[in-house]
Amino acid sequence: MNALEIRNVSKTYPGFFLEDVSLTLPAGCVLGLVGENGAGKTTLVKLILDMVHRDNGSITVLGRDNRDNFRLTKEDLGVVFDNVGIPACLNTHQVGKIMALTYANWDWNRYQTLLERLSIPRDKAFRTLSRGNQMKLGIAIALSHHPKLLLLDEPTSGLDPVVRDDVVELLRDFVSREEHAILISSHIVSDLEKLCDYIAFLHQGKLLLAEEKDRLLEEYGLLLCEEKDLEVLPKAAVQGRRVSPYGVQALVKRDAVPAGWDIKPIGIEELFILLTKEEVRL
Amino acid sequence: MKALMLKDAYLIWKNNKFVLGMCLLFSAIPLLNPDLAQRFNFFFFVYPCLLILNILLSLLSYDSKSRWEEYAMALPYSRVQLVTAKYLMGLLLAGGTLLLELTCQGLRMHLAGTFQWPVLLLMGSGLTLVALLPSSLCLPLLYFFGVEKGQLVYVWALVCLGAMLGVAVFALPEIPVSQLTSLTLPGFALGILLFALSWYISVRIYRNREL
Repeated sequence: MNALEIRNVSKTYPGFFLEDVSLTLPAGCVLGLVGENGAGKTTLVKLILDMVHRDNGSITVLGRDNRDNFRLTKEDLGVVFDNVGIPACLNTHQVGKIMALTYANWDWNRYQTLLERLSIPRDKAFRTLSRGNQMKLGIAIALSHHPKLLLLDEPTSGLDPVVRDDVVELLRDFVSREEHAILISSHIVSDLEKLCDYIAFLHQGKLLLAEEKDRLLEEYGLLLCEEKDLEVLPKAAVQGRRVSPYGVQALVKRDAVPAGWDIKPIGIEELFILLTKEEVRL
Repeated sequence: MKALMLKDAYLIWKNNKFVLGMCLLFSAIPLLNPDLAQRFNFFFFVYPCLLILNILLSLLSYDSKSRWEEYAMALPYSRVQLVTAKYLMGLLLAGGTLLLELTCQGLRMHLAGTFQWPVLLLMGSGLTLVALLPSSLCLPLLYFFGVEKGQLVYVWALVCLGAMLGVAVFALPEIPVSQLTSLTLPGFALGILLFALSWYISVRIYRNREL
């Protein structure tokens, strides 16, 4: 079963549109949503949660339409927003009590274990926690009711590398069970690269591509050459370029480039930058 | 919904202890200082009920500031439940204040040797209206406009209500209390009906709201 299916979903706001997005997240996988600010990542997460109403298309979460008694489906969802959303004056114990009354499957032992594992101070008001600890608390809550699907909107933004590594490790543990899945949006592409099986690029409200990460990395490469060298390549081969006084870095489709060219491997971050900006001149 | 009410109870206790204290103090003044209460009984009678809206407004404002209203949409609650929890909290606060005020007023009348059940119930009926009317008017507007604009709505609602009460007290002919007791039941019914209607409108608004 697919954990998440988004089919031809569109949403229009004044000055913004999300156009005909289709995505599938199979169970047991992690899908990373990459996009610049305002690309539509948060809108997509909100559409999945039916916080904003889609103009058209369909969204199925854990096999059920997200407008069809979604309250029940949300029992199996863990959600973390970049601002978490816990009232500032509540402490971890009070938050736990509220969540215990909220989720049918709330697991106090799991919550306590996660608080300990993530070194989140007990009995301190949410506002007095550091940004990292606030985010870790959000993640602990999201994992303490045994969800099947995690929706994470910028969960690692503003965190230091050590905390980010803790969070990524925790998410890896979660997704090691095959019925679990994660949709994660982030600016920090290195985290997504560590974690994700699938990558989707959103750019100005459009889905540029959504593919298996390994396939993407196989499919695309980086060509270091002179600008004039690119002219001999087929147009379809060059997907983006960065021009500097020292030469050109071109994003190329490996299978469209004739044999004999030295194509280097490319990272997801570089791939996204070069793909979204047709030509970068330095 | 117990969780939503518990969350609101924590917030009230942390942020609105002073307002709760004011409610207690103003309700108890008829007992503590009967002379003062005699002169300004109407004010001490009505003011605690108006403070309830202040608490509800502060809850909504806190939810908005902490982004709880978005987070709550990710929890297993429907939009109807999110609105209903606020109305139930309003009802609980109104009920508590009503009970406190009627107890104090009843004791005051008892000590003065003027206690009459019909009069106390009439007071309860009037208080129900006063306690529920501002919330009934404001909550749909707060859900429609959001909390920031809602603060303005709150101020205007208080001004309008004050003006209406002023007119009622000073412009209408003085009618003996004994002739008003027949309004007790309609008063209760009207208060509850307005509150229920307000809930229905708020639910309709919140169902269509995008967060």
